[in-house]
Amino acid sequence: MSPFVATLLFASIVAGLLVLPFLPALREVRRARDVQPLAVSADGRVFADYFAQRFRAFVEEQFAGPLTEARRSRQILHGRSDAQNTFVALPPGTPLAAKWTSAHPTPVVLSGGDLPIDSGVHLDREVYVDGPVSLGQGVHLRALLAEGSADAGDGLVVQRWLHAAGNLQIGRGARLYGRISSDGEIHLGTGSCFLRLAGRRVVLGTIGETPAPFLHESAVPVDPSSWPGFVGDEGGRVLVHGDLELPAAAAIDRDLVVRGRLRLGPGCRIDGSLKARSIEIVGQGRIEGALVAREDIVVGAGTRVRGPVIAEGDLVLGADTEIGDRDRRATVRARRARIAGGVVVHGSLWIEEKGEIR
Amino acid sequence: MSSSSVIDPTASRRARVVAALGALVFFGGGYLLACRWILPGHPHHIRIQLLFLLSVIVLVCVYLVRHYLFTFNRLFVRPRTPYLDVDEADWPEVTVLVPAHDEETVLPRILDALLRVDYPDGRLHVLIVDDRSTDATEEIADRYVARHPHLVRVFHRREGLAGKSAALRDALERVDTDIVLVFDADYVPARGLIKQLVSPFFDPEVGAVMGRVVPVNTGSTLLTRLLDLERSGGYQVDQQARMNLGLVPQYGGTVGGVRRRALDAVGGWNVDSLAEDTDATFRLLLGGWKTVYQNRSECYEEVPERWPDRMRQVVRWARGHNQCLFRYALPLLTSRRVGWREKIDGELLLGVYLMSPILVLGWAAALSLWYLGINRPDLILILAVASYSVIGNFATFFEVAAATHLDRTRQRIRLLPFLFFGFLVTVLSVTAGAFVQLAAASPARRDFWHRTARQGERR
Repeated sequence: MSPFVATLLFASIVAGLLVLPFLPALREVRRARDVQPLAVSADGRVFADYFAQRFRAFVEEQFAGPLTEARRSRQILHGRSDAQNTFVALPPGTPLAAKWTSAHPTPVVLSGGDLPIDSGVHLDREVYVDGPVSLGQGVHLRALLAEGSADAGDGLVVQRWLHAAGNLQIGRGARLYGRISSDGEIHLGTGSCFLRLAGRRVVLGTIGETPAPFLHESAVPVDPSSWPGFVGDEGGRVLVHGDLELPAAAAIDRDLVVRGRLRLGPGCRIDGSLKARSIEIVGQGRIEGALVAREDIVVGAGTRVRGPVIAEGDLVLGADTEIGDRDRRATVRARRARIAGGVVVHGSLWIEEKGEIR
Repeated sequence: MSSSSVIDPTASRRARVVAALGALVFFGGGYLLACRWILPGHPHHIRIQLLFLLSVIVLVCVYLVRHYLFTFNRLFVRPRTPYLDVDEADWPEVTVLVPAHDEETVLPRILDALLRVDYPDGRLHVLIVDDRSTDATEEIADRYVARHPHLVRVFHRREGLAGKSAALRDALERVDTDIVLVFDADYVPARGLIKQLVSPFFDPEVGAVMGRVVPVNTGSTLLTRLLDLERSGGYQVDQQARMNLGLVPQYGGTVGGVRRRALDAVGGWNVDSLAEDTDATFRLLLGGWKTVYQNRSECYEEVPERWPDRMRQVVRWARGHNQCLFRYALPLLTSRRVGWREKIDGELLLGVYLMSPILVLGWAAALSLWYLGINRPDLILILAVASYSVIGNFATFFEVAAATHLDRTRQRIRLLPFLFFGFLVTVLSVTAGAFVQLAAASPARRDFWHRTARQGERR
């Protein structure tokens, strides 16, 4: 091969390699196939009962007629909606038994009024109840929307979501893998596991009979500038480097940010929010703002937190802890949560991996 | 208060000493290295050039590693979104500032969107900051105030310095809420966006919040498609990786907000800055406040459709950014309120627009050495590979490709090779801007409005 041809060949190969990636690019320019803007939600709101709302709209659109007919005729109806979705519509009060559910493999179960579900029933489908629902022990549900209250026995399992327009009572040992929500109160028994709970008032376990003494009422103000890691006090916030331990019954009247670990002795009162790498509140404290930690948060028994609780790591809530109040709703968010009996949250709990009530 | 209020004078002196010692060790050591082992017996000016070239290669490699670190973090680490799930709270009062200068084509759209947002009644306030508009902006704003007096107010600004930062500073005096969000007039917030952007402020360490801007006019031109890719890389990978790693996410001046008492504590909006958003990010950082990035808090924006508009935009950003570099690089080094990881990331973030002229100078040094007879193909090869890796192919392309993968918009990845030309334009524009900035005798002052031409205005 002559040097000229070799050079030409080499130049052609190099040029080809350079041009090669531009071929699909040029094709995309000439005949654009992906020019839509990235989809951005026009709504963007976060709802615990998002799926329930969508299901309610679906039922109203597709099954309003069969529900009315089942109520009027007091007959069990089977059929398809105009959009060819199969259903079974039950008149009010018709119980769902395990034998019945295995004989009716239909995707949507509708009840025109109250619905009793027997113990041990497995319902691998969506259920709509236009009234209250009562569930026996060991019931397995995929998804259920009750337009009234819901009362479940021990051992309930929910795969996707459960929403009750009224109060929601769930017994012990429940396994709740999806979103559990109520427009009223939620009471969840001990030994239960959950991921997402939202209600006007969520009671986890059993509330203790004796209220914790309010040690924080005798808390005395402390001077942050005397702390060893004190960095500054401006913008309504005290900034501290390193770890900090507050003595019992200490009071601070502004936000506190600690870059290390923070430990609050019993009965501390913070009229602001707390942020630290990790936070431990020994017990019976009072936090008027939020609790935020990059790692874990341990809240001792009888503590009241008025704002959101955000732990990027694990969260431990001691007995009779109260988050938020009737007039100030709050969110509890953590990777994992271990919760003692008697904890009350006025709002929602969003646990990434596992929340358990002990 | 001035912007220097966050700069501790003792720390600043310490910073200068540390920086001087560091530079002495780096350049002195490098020079000795060059004398003894790399270029023994060569003239002084050649050693200096070689040392500069080596420094450029080191810097380029540092940015290369940074790109890879961010991209691998986004690919393999679960995104950190601690505040996004906050759906129930005692939501604080918030004011949304809408700075507007001749925005008659887009103002009604954002105001209608703000009237629809999900936020408790009486706790949301909208303040239109009409800065010397000459079109129908004033009448439109007045009309909305008349219709919704409980929600919308307007501040017709007729005097003082022009420009967004000056307008925002004056507008803040008319705001009595602690949380202030800013949306440019051409943005359209979703119903849930206000709550999403307010939720991080429950964290008392947070001074500013930034959402993600998404180009809406993606399909207009090749440039908008390339900018869409670039924005994906910048937000989906860069910003979120910084958030994941606890580094320095950047407040971008729109689709975001600030805690007013934090901003006041560090001197308020800096009207002398060409990039008030970057300036605020670094002053808040020096004051011990964090900026949070929320990748899911998305909002559409219009990106430039013509190359001259894009070049002007990049030059403006670069000049503002470089201003911040010279102002805050040293104080950041020895700030007691900033952790070492944030210091490193902050310095790299500050220097990001300086890399273009440095790279060009590096190439100039390489060529100069070549013509001076220092025939070191290894150095030129290293610089070539490193340059290509940073601006041309591997790291940046990898970052953008990862972003499109995460955004699940995989078809547009075919345009990736064209990004090379986009980056080339950026490098040249930024370099030209940097030299103009250096040559300018008077300090830069932001006394004018910079607007991206809206779609309706161009046609």
